[in-house]
Amino acid sequence: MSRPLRIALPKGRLLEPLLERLRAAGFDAPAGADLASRRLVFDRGGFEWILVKDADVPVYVEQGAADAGVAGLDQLLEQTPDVLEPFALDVGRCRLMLIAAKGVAPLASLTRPVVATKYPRFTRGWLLRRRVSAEVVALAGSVELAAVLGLAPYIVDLVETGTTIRVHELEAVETIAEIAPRLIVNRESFRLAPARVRELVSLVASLAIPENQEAVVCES
Amino acid sequence: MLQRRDVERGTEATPALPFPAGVRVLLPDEAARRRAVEGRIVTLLESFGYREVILPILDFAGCYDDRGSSVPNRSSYRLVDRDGELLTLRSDFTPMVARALAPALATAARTRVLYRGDVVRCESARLGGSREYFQIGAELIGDASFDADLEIARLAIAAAGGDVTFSCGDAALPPLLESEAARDRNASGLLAKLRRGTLEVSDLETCSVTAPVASRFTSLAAEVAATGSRLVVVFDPDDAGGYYSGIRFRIYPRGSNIPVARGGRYDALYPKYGADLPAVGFTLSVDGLEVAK
Repeated sequence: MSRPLRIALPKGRLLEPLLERLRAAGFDAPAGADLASRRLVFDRGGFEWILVKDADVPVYVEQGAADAGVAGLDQLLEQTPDVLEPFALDVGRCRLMLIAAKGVAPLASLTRPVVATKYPRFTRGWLLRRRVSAEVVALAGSVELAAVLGLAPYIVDLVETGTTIRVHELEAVETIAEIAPRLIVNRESFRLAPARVRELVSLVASLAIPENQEAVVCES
Repeated sequence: MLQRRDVERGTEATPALPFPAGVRVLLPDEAARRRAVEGRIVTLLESFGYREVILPILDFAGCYDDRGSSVPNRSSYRLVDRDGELLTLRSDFTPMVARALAPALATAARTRVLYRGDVVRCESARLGGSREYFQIGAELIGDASFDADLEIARLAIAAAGGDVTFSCGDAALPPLLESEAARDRNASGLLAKLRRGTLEVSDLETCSVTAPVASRFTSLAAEVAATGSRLVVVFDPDDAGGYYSGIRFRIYPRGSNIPVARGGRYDALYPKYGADLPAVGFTLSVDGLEVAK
């Protein structure tokens, strides 16, 4: 494998802070002018950086179209890709929460509960582990509207600051998981060239969250 | 212009229904090529004393759970038999060989077997890949020695045609480091490196419990070099999953990132089926080998 290591980064809220931290760590990562150019592939400093939608990073990396990438734990919980996950990164941390419309009865007491989410597979599994029998509605975005408009009394969604919950007068019920993006690596890239992966991991190590501080709630 | 109706139903010009994605027909030329490759590998294995066993394609699903297989339950086709029994289509040879041979082997000494046939899975391991794999494999049962590991490694490389990358780790390492980490600071440092994917052979020499593992990889390096192939030592924190309990390897043809063969040691598998015997073996995907040529 002689081509440069290809790294997939998620477009969206994480991208700017992530690129800033990568540049601070000494990477020649794409910068403002690059992002304005609409290009999605950048050859910089011995790496090839590609920008894809956050939910697509695990797909590119698992299938080997990228050697490594940065993916949110939310996407990894939903997609469970078969990839190496060296560590979590201290960038854009947030929480995956169960949120209720105002004044609804407890989830377990509803006779036919409905939960709306962008993470249907994970949510089904989590509800099953909680011994709650609920119907899960898969939405593509703005999930809070489902609770506001009565599509579903409960939603499972990411919470960063809590502003969305306050503005829509929703109620945060509980934290399901602490979410941080993780460095992920394609298995075959790792098995064929572990030295190059070691090099990448040591370069990114300054962004890592120490293992003992990486609280992942996600109890059954 | 195509109407919505045409798009949803398919147009009138639609040709005959193809076979499902992930399976294919081999016409005479391809079939002859596969048989030639198959014949070469079987002859090789037989010349080293491996004798063929033929196994059924259907079995009771209850005989294989997730822990006894490197293929998760959801990747195997399962069906309910007419009398209500849950059956499964063969998706992994190794546990089936163990289940088939264990009763006869309980007291026997070293045994060498080979097998060939299809395994079928619900999903391909990668995009555009097969769901039906024609595999040939070999098992060396009843020999816990490192020499047995080397014999299987040598055979797997030869079966794959030589000039390959032999990527190898050790499935015993993650549980070993996890159990030692509490009382040995050195081991706990190695465990942290393992989890980050940065553990190297030279690290293993620094810790008394892992030093023997390091020396095994030195011998393996010499063995692989003698075949003209390249050894990559790689410690994957997730290699302990499935039934592997010792060396675990994958073989890649030159320039390819798709493994054509995989194997390793699984000393806890035969005991599950009632025979207290260690085992080491490999499986080779013949189609993968043909594509790589």
